[in-house]
Order: sequence, then structure tokens, then C-alpha cells
Amino acid sequence: MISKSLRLVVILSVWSALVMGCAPTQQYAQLGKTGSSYAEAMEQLLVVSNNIWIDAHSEMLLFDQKKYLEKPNPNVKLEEEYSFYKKIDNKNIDLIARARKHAQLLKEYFEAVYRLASLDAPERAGKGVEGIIGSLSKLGLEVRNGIGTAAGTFARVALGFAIRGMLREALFKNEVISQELDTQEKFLGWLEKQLQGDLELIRNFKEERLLKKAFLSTTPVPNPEAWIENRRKILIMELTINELENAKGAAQKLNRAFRDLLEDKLTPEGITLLIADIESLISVIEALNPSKGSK
Amino acid sequence: MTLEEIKEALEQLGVPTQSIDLTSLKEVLDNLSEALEKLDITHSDADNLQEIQEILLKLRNFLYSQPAADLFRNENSYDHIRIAVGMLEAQMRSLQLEIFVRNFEGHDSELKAITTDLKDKIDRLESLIAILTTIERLINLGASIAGMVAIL
Repeated sequence: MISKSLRLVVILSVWSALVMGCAPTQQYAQLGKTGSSYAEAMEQLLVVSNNIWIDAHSEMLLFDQKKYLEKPNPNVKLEEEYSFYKKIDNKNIDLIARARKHAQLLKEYFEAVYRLASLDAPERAGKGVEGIIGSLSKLGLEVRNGIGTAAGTFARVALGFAIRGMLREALFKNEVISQELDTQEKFLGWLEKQLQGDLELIRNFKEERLLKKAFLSTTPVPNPEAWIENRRKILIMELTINELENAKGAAQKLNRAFRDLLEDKLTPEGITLLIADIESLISVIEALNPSKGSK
Repeated sequence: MTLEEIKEALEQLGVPTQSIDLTSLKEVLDNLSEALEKLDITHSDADNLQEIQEILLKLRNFLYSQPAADLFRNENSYDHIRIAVGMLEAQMRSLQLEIFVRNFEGHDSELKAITTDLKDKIDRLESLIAILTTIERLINLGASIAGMVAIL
């Protein structure tokens, strides 16, 4: 009886390894957790990049007004330009809100993967079965030693199968996750290029307006403390622009981790690198978001 | 002009560099403006759109700078071209964002369905574990009662 149960456990374990892959649920949990952090960072990045996009347009409008006041040009229609940017910025606010809703859905999905993977059901259920058998013994019912252990192990393995099967189905059987991660990779690369472009434009205007103009004037800088602070902020902006380069690997590494998990090749190093990129992304977002405090 | 031809024309102009011929650039921008008006984003040439917008982004940053303002001080068309580049870049970027958002939204219903399915499974597993735990408690209770009966 005991040997039959144990044999069944071994057979099922081998079958699990061959058919379902042998990635432990811990790896799925790690992917779920990092995927959820990525989606949250993406949502914040959308908000920050939209604000910076609007600021870049404001800088451009001010520059155009300045040029117009210096030398009026009949071809320049400031009112039309103002209306254009108002319309396009409003449209973008709406699009970003829709993109954020999607990021929230992605976060919910990864959170569910994490919850399922970190559900200690096999352990708890196994204990439950062992506990039932132990309790039956207390009632004076004959349960031979070994059967309880085998039954508990069986319950753990069986539920482990079920959970891993559900996780693999949720992650791999549906093409939509694979497509989603490909799109995320393209989108983050694109978004960061836009953000870099806007930050560069804003930094140049601020440097011109707040630093150079005052410094190259014939009189001393009127408020040196403010000038020093502005100079530091503007130089740090440049650092943030460079950091964006490192952060853009986050979506790429998430996509790779997903594929590595599919092929049972996901390593702790792969997860560590992914977490480092997500942290880098979050630190860039914080540096760019004044409400969260800047570097 | 198609987006592909516009992209080639911009590359031939060598933009964004300081040696921009504003007259030639104006012609390309007029064509781009016309092409964008006719563009159907559901069938757009996404790669060309992206490449042109990236060129325009660099061009915008150059034209909206003091060095460019100094360089083109005597060019009458500078103001007009700078503003046109800024507006076209903004329009193209918004179009790309819309394409990405539509693409994402195309996954929304499936993503929701998978998440709901996962949550259902989690609920069912949690119920199963709760049942096993309850059975264990009931048996333990039965054992305690049996023990008490034996003592009595």
C-alpha cells in the first residue's frame, strides 16, 4: 500500500517535470511580484512623462512668444498655436489616462499570478491531510505509519501540480501575455526616447533662462543662492536623462524573464537584474516627479 | 508623398544638423502635413511614422534653441518653420501614443478574462484548503470528545 502510494508520487513528479516543466512556484511568484512592480512603475512613468511633455510645450510657447515680441512676424499666429497645443495636450491627457487603466489591468494580472504562486496551498493542504490522519489515529482508528506521510506528500504534490498547471496556463497558453510583453518593450523604449527629448529641451531652456542669462549679464547674479540651487537642479536633470538609458532595460528583462521561465531557464541572477532595472526606473521617476521629492 | 518618401527626403536634407536648408525643409514639412491629414492610423505605416517623429524631435530641439535662433536670425521663414516642426512633432507623437494605446486596449478584454479566471482559481483553492482545515478541526474536536467520554 505504502510503496504503491510512493510510486504514484514519484511517477507524478516525473510526469510533472516532463510535461509541465519543473520551474518551482517560487519563480512564478518572483515573476508575478516583479511584473506587478513593473506595471506600477509604468503607470507612474506615464503620469510623469505626460507632465514633462506638457512642460516642454509650455517652454516652446514661451519661446515663440519671446521671438514674436522681439520681431513680430505676420506669419506667426500665436493664438492658433496656443489653441493647437491646448487641444493636443488635452488629447494626450486622455490617451495617458487610457494607458494607465491598461497598466492597472496588467498589475492586477501579475498580482493574481503572485497570489496563486505564493499560495502555500500544497503545504497547508498537505498538513491538513496529515492532520486528519493523525486525528483519526487519536480516535483509535487504525492507520498504519507511513500511509499518512505518503498521503500528505501526495496531497502536496497533487496540489503543487494543480497550481503550477494553472500558472503555466495563465502565463503561457494564452498568446496575449506574450504579445503584451512585446508591446511593453517597444512602448517603454519609445516613451523613454520622448522623455529624453523633452527633458533635453526643458533643460536647455532652463539653463538659458535661469543660468546663462544671469551669469553673462554685466551685473552680478542678483540672487546667488537661487542661482546655485538652480544650477544644481539643472545639472542633476542631465544625470536623470542619462539614467533613463539604464532604466529602459526593465521591459526587455521582464520579457526575457517570462520566456526564460517558459523554458525553465530563469535564474536568480535574471530576476536580480530585472529587479535592479525596475528599481532604476522607479528612481528615475522619483527624480522627475517633484511631488515625490527630487534627487 | 508617402511617409517613406518623406523620411528619405528628411534624411537627404541631413536634418537635424546646423546646415539645414530651410526652404527645402519647408517643402518636406508641407508634404508631411498633407500626409498626416490623410493618414488612417489603423492602417498606418508605424515604423516610418516613428522614424520621422524621432527626426522631428531632434529637429524641434535644435530649432527651439538659442544657437538656432542666432543662426537663423536673418531667415524670414525660421519662425514659421520652427513652429511648424513643433506642431508636426506633437501631432505625430500623439498619433503614435494613440496607436500604442489602441494596441494595449486590444489586449484588455483577454487580460481581464485571464485575471478573473486566476482569481476564481485562487478562491477555489483557498476554499479547498479551508475545507481540509475544517475537517481536521472537526476530527480533533471528535477526538477530544472521545477522550472526555473515555475519562468519564
